[in-house]
Amino acid sequence: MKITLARKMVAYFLLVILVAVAGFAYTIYMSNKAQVSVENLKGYENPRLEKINDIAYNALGESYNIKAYLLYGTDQYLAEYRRLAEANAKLEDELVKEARTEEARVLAVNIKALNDQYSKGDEDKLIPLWQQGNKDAAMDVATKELAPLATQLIAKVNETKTSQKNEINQAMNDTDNVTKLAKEVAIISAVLAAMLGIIIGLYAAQKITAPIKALQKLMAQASKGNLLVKAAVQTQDEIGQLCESFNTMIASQLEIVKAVKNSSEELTAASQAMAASSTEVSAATTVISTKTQSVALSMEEASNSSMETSQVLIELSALIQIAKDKAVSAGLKSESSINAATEGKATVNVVMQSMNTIYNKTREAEKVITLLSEYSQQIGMINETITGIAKQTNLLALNAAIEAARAGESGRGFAVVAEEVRKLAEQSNAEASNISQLIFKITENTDSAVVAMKHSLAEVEVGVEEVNKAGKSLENILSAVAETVNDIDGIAKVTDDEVASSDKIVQLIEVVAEDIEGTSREALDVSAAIEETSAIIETVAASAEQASAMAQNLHDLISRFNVEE
Amino acid sequence: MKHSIKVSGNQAMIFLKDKIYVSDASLLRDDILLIIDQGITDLKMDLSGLTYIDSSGLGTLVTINKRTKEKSGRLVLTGAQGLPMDLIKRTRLDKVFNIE
Repeated sequence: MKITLARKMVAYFLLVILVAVAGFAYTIYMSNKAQVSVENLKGYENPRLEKINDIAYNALGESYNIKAYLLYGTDQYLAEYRRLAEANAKLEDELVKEARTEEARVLAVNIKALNDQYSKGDEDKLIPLWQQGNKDAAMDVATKELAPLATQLIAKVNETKTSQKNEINQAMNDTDNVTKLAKEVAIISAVLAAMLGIIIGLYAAQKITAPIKALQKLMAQASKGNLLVKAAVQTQDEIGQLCESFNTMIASQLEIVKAVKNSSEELTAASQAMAASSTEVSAATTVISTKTQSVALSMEEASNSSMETSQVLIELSALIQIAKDKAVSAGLKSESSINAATEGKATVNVVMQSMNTIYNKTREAEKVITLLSEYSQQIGMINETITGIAKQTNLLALNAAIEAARAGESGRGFAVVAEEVRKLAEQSNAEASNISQLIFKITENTDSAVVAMKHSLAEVEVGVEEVNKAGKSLENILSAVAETVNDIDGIAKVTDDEVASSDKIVQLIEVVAEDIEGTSREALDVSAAIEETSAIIETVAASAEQASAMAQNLHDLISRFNVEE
Repeated sequence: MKHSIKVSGNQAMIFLKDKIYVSDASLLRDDILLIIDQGITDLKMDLSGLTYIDSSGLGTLVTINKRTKEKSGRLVLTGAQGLPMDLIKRTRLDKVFNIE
């Protein structure tokens, strides 16, 4: 077990306290003894003396009352005698019981025996004799037996009283002596403890402070920067431990100062490097910040562009859908065109056939008209013949009329016939003339008809050619419309592509807009983060400068320490 | 016809109702572009009766909007609600159109 300074101090104090406690314990013991003695006097010896006095008083009372009873014969005295006798018997019992010494007990027993004997003489002899009227015998008992008993009793009580008083005096003297002794012992103990305390205190102070003073000197040297000092460890107590700790502390400080010196040099270099780096980083961050802001601006422009693009896209989508709608509608119309053209082609074919028929019929008509012309010429020749006949017939009729006129009356009938024949001849001639005119007209018209026919034929040929052309045109239209239908189908198929569909285009626009908005937000976030970073780097740069200054300061501070042996 | 046009001077009030599909959008486009060409460029379009429109309709509105601006006029949309309004917002056209 180590003897620590605290234990040493405790031991020193315990020594002083032991002396003081021994003195005080003895004083307390004495005081207690005196106290016990006083309490004994108070609670036992004095009451016992009082009891003895009471017994003496009661015995006297008994004697007086029995005498008064004998003298006056009043029962009141007898009753008082009996009360006192009973009280005395009780007191005597207590006296015997409480007796602490054999002597006291014997005295008490004697008193009780005498008193009992006296009481017995009264009760068994005197009072019965007296009550029987035997007054002489009673007086005789009183004077010869009881009076000496009473004298003995009083003498014994007085003896006991004296003995008790002596006891009390002895006890009081003892108490007085004890008290005085206790007082002296207390004073001596106090003085002794005080003196011992002073001596031990001085010794302990000397013992404790001497190494502390030595250590203090070393500390003063250390505080001036000499870290090469070393305390001599002479004890195992706290002072010794303090010296060891001081040595450890100084060694640690030496190490720390050396380390701090090295570190401060390194820190100076590092903080200068850090300051340089942070300047570079700051410059880089500024560039990044500018770029990011540029990105943010670009994103804003992109957002606007995307709005434009969205409009164009949706417009394009609408146009494509409308085009598709129109294409479908055109497809339907083209179908109608094909049908119409097909019908047209059929009609043209019919027309072609009709034209051919017309041509053939016209050719036939031409032949018929030519034949008619020939017939007209033949009729003309016949008509000339008829005209000749009519002229001859007229001449004949004229001759006949002449002849009839010559015949007179008989020829009158004939004249009428001749006249009628002449009229017929004239009529024939007129009709022939008419026929001749008709034939002329017919011939004329037939010629015209032939010319017209030839024209018609030419026209029909032209018509056939045109109809053929129309047929070919319709065929071309048909193939063109068929191609158009194909193209329209193609358009419809192309526009069937889902990209142009309403939902897709809306989704596309939404996704692009969300992407651009998201990117724009992120660019702004990045910009803010870079600004924060920039601020932090400025703080770092400032810190680096502070660190550099602190390192220099540290170096200056460290240089006052003597660390090299 | 899902649309009706009331012309007054160089202003026109256009009412769209029910559901506008491609064919309706095509008709609307033809009619409105015609009146814009006639110099009626201050257009107000009431969409309160419109319950459905697709991208063809929206694209037509974009075309009309552009065309009126080219002619120093304007297109104002009123009463847009429900699906049409939702579609306008999803395509970010709410930033393009003048909506009251």
